[in-house]
Amino acid sequence: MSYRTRRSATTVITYLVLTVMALIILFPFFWMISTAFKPNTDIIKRPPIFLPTKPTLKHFQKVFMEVPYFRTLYNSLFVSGMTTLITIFFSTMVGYALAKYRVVGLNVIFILILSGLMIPPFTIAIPLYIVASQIRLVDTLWGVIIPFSISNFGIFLMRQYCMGVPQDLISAARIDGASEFTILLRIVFPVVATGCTALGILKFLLTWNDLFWPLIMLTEETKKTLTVMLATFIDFERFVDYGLLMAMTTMVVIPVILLFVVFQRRIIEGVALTGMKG
Amino acid sequence: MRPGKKFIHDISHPILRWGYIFVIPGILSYLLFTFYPTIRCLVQSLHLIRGANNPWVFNGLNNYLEIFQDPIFWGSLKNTFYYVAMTVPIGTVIALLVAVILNSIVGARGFFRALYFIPSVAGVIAVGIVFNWMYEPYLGVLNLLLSKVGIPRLNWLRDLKLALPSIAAMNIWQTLGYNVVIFLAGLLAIPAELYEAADIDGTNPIRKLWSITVPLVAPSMWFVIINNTIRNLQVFSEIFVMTGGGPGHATTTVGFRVYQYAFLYLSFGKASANVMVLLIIILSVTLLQLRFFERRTRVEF
Repeated sequence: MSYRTRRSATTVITYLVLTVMALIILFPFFWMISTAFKPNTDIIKRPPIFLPTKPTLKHFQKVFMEVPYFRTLYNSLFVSGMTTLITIFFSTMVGYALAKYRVVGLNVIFILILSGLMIPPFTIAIPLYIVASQIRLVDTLWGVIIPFSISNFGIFLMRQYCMGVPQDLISAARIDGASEFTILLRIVFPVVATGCTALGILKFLLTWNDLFWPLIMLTEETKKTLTVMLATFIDFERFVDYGLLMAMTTMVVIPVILLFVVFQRRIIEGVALTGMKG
Repeated sequence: MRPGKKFIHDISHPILRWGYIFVIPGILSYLLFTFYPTIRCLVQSLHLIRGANNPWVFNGLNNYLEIFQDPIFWGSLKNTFYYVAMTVPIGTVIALLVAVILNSIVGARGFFRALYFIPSVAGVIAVGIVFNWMYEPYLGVLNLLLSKVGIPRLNWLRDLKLALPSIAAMNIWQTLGYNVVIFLAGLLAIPAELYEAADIDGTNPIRKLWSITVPLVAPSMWFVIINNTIRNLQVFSEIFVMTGGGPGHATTTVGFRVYQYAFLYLSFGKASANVMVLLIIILSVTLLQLRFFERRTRVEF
């Protein structure tokens, strides 16, 4: 075999392996959607069939009868959106102070915040649930948003980005008489915009898919987020209506997959950057 | 005006004052949402707390003594470590291999990378529920596919021995794309000349992987290992949606035990004691890994 044919054979095998991997990754999603469109007679067929014989929207209609879907979708968007906005703003502000102001005490604060990265969310969630229940924040969306909206990780990440802001830019603005707050808004934020996007996307996905904290905080049907609604819908004791469940799962997954398709490049860049900056 | 190398601690300085002002939200959130809950958790673990709104009764170390005498606690500890031992090594190796393969191609790299990332976006609850359905013993698609190659029907999530490995397999599948992205970022930083030099010397691919790629990708590898270890020591969501800790207590992990104590038995004291145990495990494992990591990765290129 010549060098060239051997090389092209390797290429073919490489793409084959990657495609098989892609099928393994995609198959559960295919199966979810296919089941969601199957009439019940198709779902209980043994052996299972891959595509619905007569696609039906019955399960999707049932989702709307069983749960307040749009309300839940709104709750998810509100909780994840607010958490993300607050995280971006305050993490950048604090990160900028830690990166650029050489004043006593800030390095101690930075070390404290770094140590906070190792504290598991359970340690925070259990005590704060008791507090929230005493001050009647249980079953409110703001109760879910506030405790995790300024993350130690976000501050750490934005500090790394703010170190890269050119000092000359800041000094020039000071000479022009810009206030420190104006500098933060008009100079620092635009320069570290990549970092803000990366952090924002990560925080949004993390909040969107988080379970433990919203699960214990939101018990009322109309307050639940999509994740909590889906997780509390299953009942291990009862017969499971898989058609309905798959339709519901499809409807939970679709908004976030759409978001991914739009921001795909940024999301992946963001994840890659956190790996490197971390 | 511009601060020099020296640290200045003059709060009235018109510019430097802002350093302290900007950092206030960070201090507040650290005190309120990290420091205070952690101390409060420790205090709670020393009390009997029946329900969130009831008075606390001091209980000394009894919460700890009681959970240490409970075989389910030791079972949950074993399950948690077993879960980490299954997911982290296998997940890391597969992700590294996939990343190396992806790094070797030119066309469609971004396409595959994005595609593998979809399960991370979809979230553990949604994919956990889909896997429940695929693992279903009678109607599930997995048993059908396996029966075609002659493997008899398995009970997956309802089998004492198979349940936890089945969840671990789902986790490896779900986190693959995330780990691949981290590895690829590390691989792209390796200078191509190193491989070219090895090619001129006629080095075989396996040797190249072991002698060039693995040492140089070590920082990414440690990030993946530490990150996944910390995350999987806290495994909760997968258990909650896939098995509810069963069958028996075969998939009850420490994280799930915390939930059970607090929200099933309404015993917040014992839940807090469980959290403290988890906290100590996570801190010691992380510190051990970081020390090992410091010693092992002194690479320059």
